[in-house]
Amino acid sequence: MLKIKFTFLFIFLSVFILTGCNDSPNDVGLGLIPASDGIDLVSWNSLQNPIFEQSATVEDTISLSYSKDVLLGSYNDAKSYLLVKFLISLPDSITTALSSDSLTFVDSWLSSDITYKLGDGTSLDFTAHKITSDWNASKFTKDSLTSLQFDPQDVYLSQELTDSTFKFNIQPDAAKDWLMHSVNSTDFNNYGLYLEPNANGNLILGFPALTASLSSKRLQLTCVTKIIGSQFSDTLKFYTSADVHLVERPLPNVSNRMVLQAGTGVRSRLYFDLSSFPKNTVINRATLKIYYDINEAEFGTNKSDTLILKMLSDSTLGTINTSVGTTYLFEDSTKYSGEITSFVQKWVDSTSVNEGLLLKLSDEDVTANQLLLYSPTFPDSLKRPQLEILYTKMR
Amino acid sequence: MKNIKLIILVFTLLFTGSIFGQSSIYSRYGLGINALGVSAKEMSLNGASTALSETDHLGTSNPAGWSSLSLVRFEGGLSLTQTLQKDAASSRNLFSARFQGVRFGVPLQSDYGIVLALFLEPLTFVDYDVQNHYNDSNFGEYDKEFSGRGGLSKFGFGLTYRTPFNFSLGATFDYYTGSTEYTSSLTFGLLSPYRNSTHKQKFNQRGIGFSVGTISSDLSKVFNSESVTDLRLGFSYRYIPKVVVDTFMIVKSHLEEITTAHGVTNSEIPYTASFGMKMVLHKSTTLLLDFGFTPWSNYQLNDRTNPNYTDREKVAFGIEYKDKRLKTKTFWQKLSYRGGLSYEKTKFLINGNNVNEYSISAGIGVPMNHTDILDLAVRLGQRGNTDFGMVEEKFISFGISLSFGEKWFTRRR
Repeated sequence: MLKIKFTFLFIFLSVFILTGCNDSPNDVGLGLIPASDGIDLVSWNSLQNPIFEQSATVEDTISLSYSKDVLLGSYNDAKSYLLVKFLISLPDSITTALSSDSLTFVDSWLSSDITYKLGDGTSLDFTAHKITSDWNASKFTKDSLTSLQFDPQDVYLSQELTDSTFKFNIQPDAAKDWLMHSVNSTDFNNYGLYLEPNANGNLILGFPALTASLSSKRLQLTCVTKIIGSQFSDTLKFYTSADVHLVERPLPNVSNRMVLQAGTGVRSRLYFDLSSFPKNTVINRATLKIYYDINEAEFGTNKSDTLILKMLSDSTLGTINTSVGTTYLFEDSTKYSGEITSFVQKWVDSTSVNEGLLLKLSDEDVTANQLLLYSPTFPDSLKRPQLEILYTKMR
Repeated sequence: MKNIKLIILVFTLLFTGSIFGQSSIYSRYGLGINALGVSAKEMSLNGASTALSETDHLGTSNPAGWSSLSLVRFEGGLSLTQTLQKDAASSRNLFSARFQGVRFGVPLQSDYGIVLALFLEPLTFVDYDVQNHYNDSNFGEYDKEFSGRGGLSKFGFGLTYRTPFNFSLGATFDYYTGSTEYTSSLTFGLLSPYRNSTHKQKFNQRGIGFSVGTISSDLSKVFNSESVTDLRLGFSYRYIPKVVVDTFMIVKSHLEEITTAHGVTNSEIPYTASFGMKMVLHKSTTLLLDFGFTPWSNYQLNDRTNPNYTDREKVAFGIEYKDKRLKTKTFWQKLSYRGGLSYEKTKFLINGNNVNEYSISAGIGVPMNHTDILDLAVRLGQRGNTDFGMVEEKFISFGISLSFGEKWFTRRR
């Protein structure tokens, strides 16, 4: 009997707990919340609340060895050099013919799909040279270029340029040493080709690099050969085993601008002094707007529509604060804008020192674009970088 | 059975004071809403227990009331509360569940009423949640939410002693501890480009105090009446000299939670005095009357009084019927039947107006065997009203508690 009663009690309490009605919170009792608990949304922007802003254009050392595109050519004052090396793998018949010096080279050319184009030139103006010293793509920088050894003889012959493909012929036997290297690595070398743009060109082209996934569209070397005594010719194709491009471009002679260049490592730093910004606040959204003039920009077929922003941990050394990652600004006809809430929150919380921001083009390793942004010293205050913040503070 | 007791003991100790749901918006002020006691018996008597001293219960906050304990006893309780909250414009249903604490008493010497008691019980609760929806032309839809969680609990030990003139005395040493967090947050919709924000005020409190109490000897002879068989007066006094409060101001963004300010200050919690009377009629009906007073207007935090606090006064009446005359009883005759009424001028003062609380209660005590008792209670009441910007809270609470008794220190023959 007692068990039945306790069972009944248990069921009753269980039902009460399970059916206990707990509505979602609403505004009942809002008037009893003390004013000191109140929180307010506050809008703030640097235009109406002028703060100290500063910018600088700097040149960092960057590596283009893992770029998914390689560039060649010149446009205005920009020049892109290209070094390529090919992976040689030969059939036995060719190896035998090479060994007995019974192989003749009928024709040789390099070809590729085009992934990028800057300038409206109808041809690429460059020279091609066989490299005579070894080089390592992953360590090759602009400084390495001066020590590069190559044959001064220009092996370039002709070119065919369409909207989507580029092909240029080199001297037919220019590749002979590279093929011989696979037969006799002691006396022959395979250091590849150095392509040097001539000044005053009006075209820079981009091609899929070694790291590009579609190998068939990559730069490839084609050699047409014929074994002496044979009535048939052989067409041999070789893909790149190493490639790297190097961009040279002087800084433009303009004032009140932040300069961003692709390929050269030219980037800008931007600083907002938020020491007077209210402390103990939560940033609901911080938006950075940076204005530019499209007529001052040099964009190729790949428009730089995105800027990468990183938080600097030391503006002198240019080191990056990795605790908050990367954020992006997106192009909008007259400006680049984007959310930098995390950066501002860190600065306001003082959990990261405010050393400013690093700005760079998101496509700086695959294009030769140049972008000039209005700096904090630009005379028209409406075109200076603007920081807009929506934050919450307790009353 | 021992395993079940152990499980209940551990469970109650672990979850004492823990809750889900919310119960009162008034808990935003000061230390929050007062707890009603560990046992469902206290709930069913509506807190009228100052002069109560029984052999089979620890259900009183007056330490002198434990002096009659005959067995080693453990008590723990649970309460479930459904509240209808209403203001001048809208209403809301709330549900909360709460462990009411645990008391443990060991009679050391029955002739002198020496009992050692240990206890862990909540003193106050803070638990509320208010939300308001906004639709801003610039920022879209968002909610402001204000919530509070926490409270103050005490644990400690007490001793009782019965004087030669049958006066019972009791005293406890109390350690107070608790953490209360008030949160103000702003929440945007899932698709909103804006990040949510939270500001918190956190108070960690700790301090020591003591309680003393006394229950008189049987004064029924004054009436010289056969129907009045036991008449006692009781008094208890709780004093907390000083409570140290660690205060924290915290902001929480989408990125991190940081403490923006930290300080240590003191809180002065006023004393509580309770007066009670117990009268037994016809050996089976116990009448109880209590008056409690706490000058909460003197409560201070950081040397500042709380403008929303006033002196608390409570009058409670309780009645219990237990048939002690029959030797062989049916199940229903073995039960204790209880009821209670109370009126309380609470410590809350809203816009210059007192927040009053009325309640009525009932309950039963069910003996599970010769030593163990299951107590059940139900309490209905109303706190505040919808005038003067106040909130009316109508509540119904169910209480359940277990009182386990065991013989210890008994020599086997």
